[in-house]
Amino acid sequence: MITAAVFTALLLLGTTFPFSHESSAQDAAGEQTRRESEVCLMCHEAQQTNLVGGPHHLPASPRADARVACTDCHLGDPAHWEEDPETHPMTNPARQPFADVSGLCAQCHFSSHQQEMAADNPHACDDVGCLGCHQVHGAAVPGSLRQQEPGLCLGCHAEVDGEFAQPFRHPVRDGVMVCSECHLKLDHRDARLTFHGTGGVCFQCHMQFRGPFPHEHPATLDFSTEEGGCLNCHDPHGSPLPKMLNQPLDAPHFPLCHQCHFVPGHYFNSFHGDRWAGMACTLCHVDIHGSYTSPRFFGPHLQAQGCFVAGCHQP
Amino acid sequence: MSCKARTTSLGLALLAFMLLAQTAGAVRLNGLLKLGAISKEEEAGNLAGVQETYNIHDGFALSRILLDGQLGERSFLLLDVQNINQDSRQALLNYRLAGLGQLRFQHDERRQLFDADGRLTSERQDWHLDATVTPVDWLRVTANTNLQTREGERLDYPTGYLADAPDADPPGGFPGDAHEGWLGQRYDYTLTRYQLEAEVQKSGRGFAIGYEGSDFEDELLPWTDRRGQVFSARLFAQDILLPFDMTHSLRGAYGSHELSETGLEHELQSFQYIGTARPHQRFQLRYLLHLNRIEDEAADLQTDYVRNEGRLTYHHRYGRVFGGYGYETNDDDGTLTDSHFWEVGAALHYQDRYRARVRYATRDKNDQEDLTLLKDVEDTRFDAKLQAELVEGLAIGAAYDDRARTYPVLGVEVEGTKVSGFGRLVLSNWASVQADYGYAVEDYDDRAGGFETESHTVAGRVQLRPIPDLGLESGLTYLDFGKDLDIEKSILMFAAQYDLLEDYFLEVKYNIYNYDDYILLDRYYTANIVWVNVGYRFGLE
Repeated sequence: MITAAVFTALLLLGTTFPFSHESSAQDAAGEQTRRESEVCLMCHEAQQTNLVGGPHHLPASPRADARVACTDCHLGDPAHWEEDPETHPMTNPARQPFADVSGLCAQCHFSSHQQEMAADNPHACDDVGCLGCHQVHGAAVPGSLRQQEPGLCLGCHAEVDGEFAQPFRHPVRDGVMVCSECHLKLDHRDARLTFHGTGGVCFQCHMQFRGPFPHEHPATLDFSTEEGGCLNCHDPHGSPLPKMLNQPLDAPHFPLCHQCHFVPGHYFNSFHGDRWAGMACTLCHVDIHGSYTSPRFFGPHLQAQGCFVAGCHQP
Repeated sequence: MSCKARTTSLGLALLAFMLLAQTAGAVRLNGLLKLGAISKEEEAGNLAGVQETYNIHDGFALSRILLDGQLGERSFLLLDVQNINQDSRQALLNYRLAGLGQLRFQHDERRQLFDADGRLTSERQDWHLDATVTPVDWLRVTANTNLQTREGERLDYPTGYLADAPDADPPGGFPGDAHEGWLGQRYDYTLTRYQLEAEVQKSGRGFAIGYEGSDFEDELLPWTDRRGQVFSARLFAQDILLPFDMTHSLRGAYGSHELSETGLEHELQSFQYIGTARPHQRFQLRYLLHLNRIEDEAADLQTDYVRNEGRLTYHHRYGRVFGGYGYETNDDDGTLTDSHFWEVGAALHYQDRYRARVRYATRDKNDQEDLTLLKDVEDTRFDAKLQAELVEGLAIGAAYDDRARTYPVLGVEVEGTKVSGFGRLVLSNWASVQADYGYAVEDYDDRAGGFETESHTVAGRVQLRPIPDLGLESGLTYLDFGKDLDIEKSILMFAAQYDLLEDYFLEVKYNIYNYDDYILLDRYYTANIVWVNVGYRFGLE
């Protein structure tokens, strides 16, 4: 496995890093675009004002650290300002197809978020591009967002709004979290040393369940190509049940566990007598998210002393 | 100094630093201070039945301290402290300097109840500190640390007795000490994790290196103490190898976890590759390869996990069609399983107002040695979703979800169906109504018998602002589990807020909690809770 990994890494490494030679060329290009911005603002004066305070702010005078110019985003023929602007219009990203805008933004913003947008983000798949959530001119919200989260997201995702009103929820409507804290991390590229993608998001905060464990709970294996993992048992937006469970963990049937473990002898278990009734499965299977020592996810006491002495199970 | 005191001091020092660091630029902060009193009346056969009320106490309450705004042209601050009482509080501090980085500090502290009369409690704390620095546009450095403590008591099991009860002598002759159940009676542990990563990227290509460490210490069970560390490298690139849109991302990691007392050491190796290709504007292909190995030479334990997954998507102006296939194997010291999984689906959208999605997925797990608990498992899932914004402010939607699991060796079949719907209505700034309803039925059958459950879930909320100074709100959550279960739970909420003066407001909230398990008769709970708060809004410039 290591050999395959190293080989692939070296192959990509060799083709990935010819980029050091670009800096001097870009410096020269920067001088050119800064000059062009000044020319643009002679006619489009208002556009200077509505960029103030934002990350695309144009410096009042050309400076060496200027990172952005009008012509970085608005493309076209220099004839636009040298000859006739009507005959030679510049592009307006707000009116361009998503794929073009995504590529344009990626010239500077090549974060993992941007990589994902360019590849397989659901927004991209639905033709909701960068400018569906962000705005460049007149941006007043940090991140150049069109409005603050969660309103930005819930405007389209109305079905999620009600889930955040449930008794057990991630505190989005309470102002403690925002949608992007989880959803921008759904990118597989950001998955750490975990088995699966969705879990990678949850483990950012719920690190105690992160693993990898020598004994993983198989429920963390994905059911489909996009879901599974933590979502097998939890509703991450909100649930009327404690711990945001998607099924109750109540006696006598414990539907949560019985989604998978409808095992004869494990409900109304006569070997456990009356004491079993009313006791949640997780009382014994304490380390249900994964264990370092027990293949049955027993807690340390049970693992040390064993339930095998009761004669029910074979080691 | 304890970890808790250290982390608190660190958070306060960060806040002081941020405020003192502002030398120029206009400060514009909006603030909110809310304090008042709580009245709580309970009638319960089981105090542990409704978790929502664990951390609500009679008496004086400091409900919220909020500061939000700008400290300068490029610096932003958010401080939010909520629900401050004798055993719970939540705090968030976020400072962002546009173009340079961000600091984030979070704290959450609460207690849990575990027995019917509320004598067994647990104190839980989570601390988080996160920093991101981008000194130049091609370099990003992130560091974060979490501290998690869990301390408290637990119900003695299997005897079911409290640890300090004088009559804790179990009838029935269970093995073990009568006063020391299999699970123990207390727990007290701390988990610390820290992570550092530096990422370099330019023109769509780059790499990152990272380190992650974790430390688990149990005061009562020292043989479970463990330490772990993982070194990782990540490489990503766009548009190389082939003359069309492609992205590649691969990540390798190597680490270890050591149980310090027992000498057990697990070696971890992971490799992941994800590639996407867009040979045509309308088609996208994604491939994922994941290899993972956990190895312990001393115990002769080795787990290998391999996953291959491909997915093809066709994009159209009005939606997409997608399909995927995956194959995975999990080979540990005792078992060998492999799984095949398929997924097909389609999504449609029109004018950003109408959306629909339908999907079908299957998964077949084969236990090649018949050694796992569940043996072979066959899953299928079908789901469909429809959502429409009929006019501005009015949205409705419905969803259908059906899934089935079959365990052919065990002779077990499980089938669940869920139907749900929602409606939202927002009328300008003076009224909003939202309602959700879900119906689910689950059917479990094995060779000896079976059981069936049925549930209704209702949630609704109405918000009104009849006059500018008065806000009214009411909400309901209702759960009913029937057939072989017989549980009802409801929460009813009424709230009003009235602006007294320009900067002050009065807030009153009344919640009624009900929980009844009609099978286990002593599991019932009722509570009436009233909050009265006076709020003060202020601005700093």
